[in-house]
Amino acid sequence: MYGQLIVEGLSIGACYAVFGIAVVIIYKTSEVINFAQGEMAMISTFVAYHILNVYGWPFWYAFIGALFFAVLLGVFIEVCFLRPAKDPTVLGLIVITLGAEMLLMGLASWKWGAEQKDFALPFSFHKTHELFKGVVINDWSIAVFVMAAVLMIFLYIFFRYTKLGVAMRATQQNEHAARIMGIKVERVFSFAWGFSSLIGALAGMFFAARSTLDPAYMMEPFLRAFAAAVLGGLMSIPGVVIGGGILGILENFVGFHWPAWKPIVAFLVIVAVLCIRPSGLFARHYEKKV
Amino acid sequence: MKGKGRFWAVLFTISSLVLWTGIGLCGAPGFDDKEIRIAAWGPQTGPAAPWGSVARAPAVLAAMINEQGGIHGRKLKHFVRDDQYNPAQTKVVVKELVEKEGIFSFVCGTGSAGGLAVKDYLAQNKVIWVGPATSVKEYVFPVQPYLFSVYPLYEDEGSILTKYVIEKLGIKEIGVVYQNDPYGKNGLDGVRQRLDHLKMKAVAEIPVEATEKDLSSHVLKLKSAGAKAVLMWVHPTTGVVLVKTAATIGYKPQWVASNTLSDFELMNKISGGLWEGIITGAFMLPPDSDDPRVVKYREAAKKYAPEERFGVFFMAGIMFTEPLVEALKRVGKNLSTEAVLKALNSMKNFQGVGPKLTWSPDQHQGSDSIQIWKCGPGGKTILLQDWTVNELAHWKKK
Amino acid sequence: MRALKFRRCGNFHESYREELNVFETDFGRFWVVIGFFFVFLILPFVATPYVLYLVTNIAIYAIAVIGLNILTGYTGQISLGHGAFFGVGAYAAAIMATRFHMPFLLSVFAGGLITATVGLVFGLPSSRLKGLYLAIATLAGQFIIEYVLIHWEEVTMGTMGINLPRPTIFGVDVGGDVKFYFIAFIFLFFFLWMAVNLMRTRYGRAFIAIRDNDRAAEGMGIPIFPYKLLSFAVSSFYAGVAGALWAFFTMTITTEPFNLGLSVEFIAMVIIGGMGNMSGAIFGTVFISLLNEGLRLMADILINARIFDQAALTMAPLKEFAFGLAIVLFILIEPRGLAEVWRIVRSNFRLWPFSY
Repeated sequence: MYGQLIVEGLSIGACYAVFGIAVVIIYKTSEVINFAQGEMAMISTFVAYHILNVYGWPFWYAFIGALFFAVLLGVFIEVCFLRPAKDPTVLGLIVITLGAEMLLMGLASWKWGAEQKDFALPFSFHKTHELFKGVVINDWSIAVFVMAAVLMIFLYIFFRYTKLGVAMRATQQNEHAARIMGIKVERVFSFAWGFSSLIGALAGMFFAARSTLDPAYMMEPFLRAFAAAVLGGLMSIPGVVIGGGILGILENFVGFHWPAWKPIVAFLVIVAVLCIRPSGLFARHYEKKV
Repeated sequence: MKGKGRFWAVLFTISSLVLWTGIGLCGAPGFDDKEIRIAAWGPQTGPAAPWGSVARAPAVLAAMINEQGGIHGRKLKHFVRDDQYNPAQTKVVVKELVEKEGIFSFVCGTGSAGGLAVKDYLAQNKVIWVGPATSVKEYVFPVQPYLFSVYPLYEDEGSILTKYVIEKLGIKEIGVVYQNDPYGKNGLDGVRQRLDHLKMKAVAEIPVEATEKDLSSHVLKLKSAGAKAVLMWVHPTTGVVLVKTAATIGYKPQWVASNTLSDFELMNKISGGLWEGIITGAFMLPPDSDDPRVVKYREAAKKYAPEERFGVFFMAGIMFTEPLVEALKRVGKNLSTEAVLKALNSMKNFQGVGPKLTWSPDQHQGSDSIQIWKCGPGGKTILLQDWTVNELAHWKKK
Repeated sequence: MRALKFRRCGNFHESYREELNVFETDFGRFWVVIGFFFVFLILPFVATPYVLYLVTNIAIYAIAVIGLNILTGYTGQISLGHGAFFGVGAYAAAIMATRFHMPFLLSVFAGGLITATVGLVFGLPSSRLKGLYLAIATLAGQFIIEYVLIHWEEVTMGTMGINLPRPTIFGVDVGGDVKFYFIAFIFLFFFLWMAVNLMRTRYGRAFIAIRDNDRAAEGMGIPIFPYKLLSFAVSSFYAGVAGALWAFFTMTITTEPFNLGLSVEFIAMVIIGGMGNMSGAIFGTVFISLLNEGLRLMADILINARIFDQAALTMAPLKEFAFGLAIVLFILIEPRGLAEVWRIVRSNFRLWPFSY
């Protein structure tokens, strides 16, 4: 039974981690916590649903279409909502993303209605493979693990060896210096938002396949992913992946023994991390000079 | 800077004008010679919005009745208000309706917290409330003179479903998943009532929050406890997640669910076909039934509300309004709140598309029975057991 | 009697003391008197119960928003958990009134004190955390408090909710829409007065110094951490009192209203009103409450006017859309809030009609 718990915990944890990466990428470049992240993924998933069910196109077209839409949406929100903010404060930016969240939620419930929808991936969770005796793993989980691994490798190469990746890191460390060095900071921000929205949409589709698709379905996964990101330090991508895994397993163990405590585990983890080691388990903390 | 100042000054003046026009509202009685005003609140936005269709449905019944000339010459007018499932908002919308439009009677009304917040206000203003779209013990015990409940108690449902599982299906290992609120706990109480009566115990009782999306630990716990039948009093989404998660680990118990999950067409679709074979309680005839009364409503809904899906919740909205319409018909031309109260209080074994209803001045819990359904292929309803009474019901023993 | 001062067209302060005056001109005092007159002698007798209910709600929320403004606007500490603090106040007062049969005023006060204690605990992370991280910590606090309110059933009755007795002051019944309206406004004015004056004291100025630059403040000899905690305590005291009043106003409380949505609404009220400005807190509360109610009325009219029309039926969610858009646009167009707008409007009228 515990083996199965660990497998289930790791697979949901990997899903949190992928979504947490989306949160981290935006935070890494522009130091904003994007509270609209969940709703951006939700709308993109709805676009995939729309293409599948209204236009009747095959799944992979819908998949690509939704990812494309996600990029546009991310760039749009950055350009229209965040860029025009004059001398933004942390709180001002938080409230802008919260406003964007409500706006997107209203838009989705207007366009697609509040009733739950079914959204299926080609990776069925009915199809199970026996790993060890009594421990099974399904296609959905395998797909999540593969996605998380590919994403990790890609991001590692991207931030390490590509010009754009280095520019993103530079922007995060010192925006003014980056600007002086000739990096077009605005473009980096737009790119980060588009990219993060894309990763969010990927995770969103996996979450939708696991539960149901409705305008509010991403709220809980967002908070969990966020907890995973805080656990990993909000800055480091390997950190958020490990954080997601820890959170998934922890939640499942608590849920197995004390089901009533499960909903609060993620938040207790956040508080504990912030009290003991605010910079997270894996990130180096940049101390701002006066 | 100057242009901006003027812009704000103009905006300021306009908004204060708009503000003032809102203040001049005044009260009105609930009916006149031409119309009777009824109303329902329900979440039209926010996470609970799928419940909202209940509140919209009475309009179909009103349109049907109005086409036939109304009730003794008076037309029915139905108002819908959005309370976002927030009791504070429920209070606002109910006050606004009662004082501005003048409402004779409320019907449906979704959400237990919202209902608890307004029931005393409605009684103070002598506004009748028929058929709350949820079952709450506090609505009917003790008796509230202006509140008439149609919905069978979850406790009775739990007891009847448990009896069915044990006696008809012959399953002794019962697990319960319940939402951590009065709805879920009342269901659990019903299961316990039946099991205590049979001197048995549930193998697992697991609480769940309505918002949780990852339930693998819950399902594993059910599996390791060896539950062969699992009874659920949960949110529809939670139900779907439970069933999907069980499929991922190859766990196949007999799922049994509360009537709030009996919208088979929807449930089968959003669970990707996994809902087939699931047994639920039900508080009215199936929406896809061939019963002439249901057919009549289905046709009306197609005509007046073509964009609405004629599912369980939509039809329930009509079902909750039926007894009020019946009482209004019985009262006749001389309409008054007292007369309608009297008609409602003397209602005996009235049956529309819902269960048999009996109200008396000291008993406002209308129904004591449920049907038992099974989800067939493609979300078709299979009737397993017709109206069944809970013979253990605590509130009927006096 | 000294000469009355009305319109001023420049800065004529003669001493530093004058900068701390609550009213810049006697014109301001005059308006406050008019305001009192309107609130206590005119409005309750002309408005319908529905309007009175709305206005009372606004007054109660305003108390909480003033509190949050002390914390966020004046001390610069972000809290995303004030909705939960509001709930703690409501529950504390309800428990005091039902379990211990405390009278109304005492249970409101106790509600405030208990919330202040809870606020102090959730303010502890502020010793190490700043800005965004503090926002995250208080966000987690929001969910933890909500969880405790639901699950600590022996005390909070869980999801069943608590029914409160009618409030009385020395045996006089003050429940009901009209009477409670007066209570709410008396509380609002008292707490507004307290807050305005708090900001003129040593403590208030220390708060502002911490907000503007905490290291410089430390250098000036202000012990930062105790002052931050004090700010958390005062702020949650305000939220607790507001919550307690709200509990007595609605008479039945359940945990649903005290969710993240309420916290966000409070934050939006503070920001849209104008951070670090007492009148801003009031403006923000009025604006957001009326925006909410106005949008709701509009959506309901749309639903009911053409009830069987696809377009109208699905219009309701656009309310959320409009609310979000309004908040975003407001911060983009006028980041300093309604208080700044008010200043601009006033200065536009200052020399009117003889402006150059």
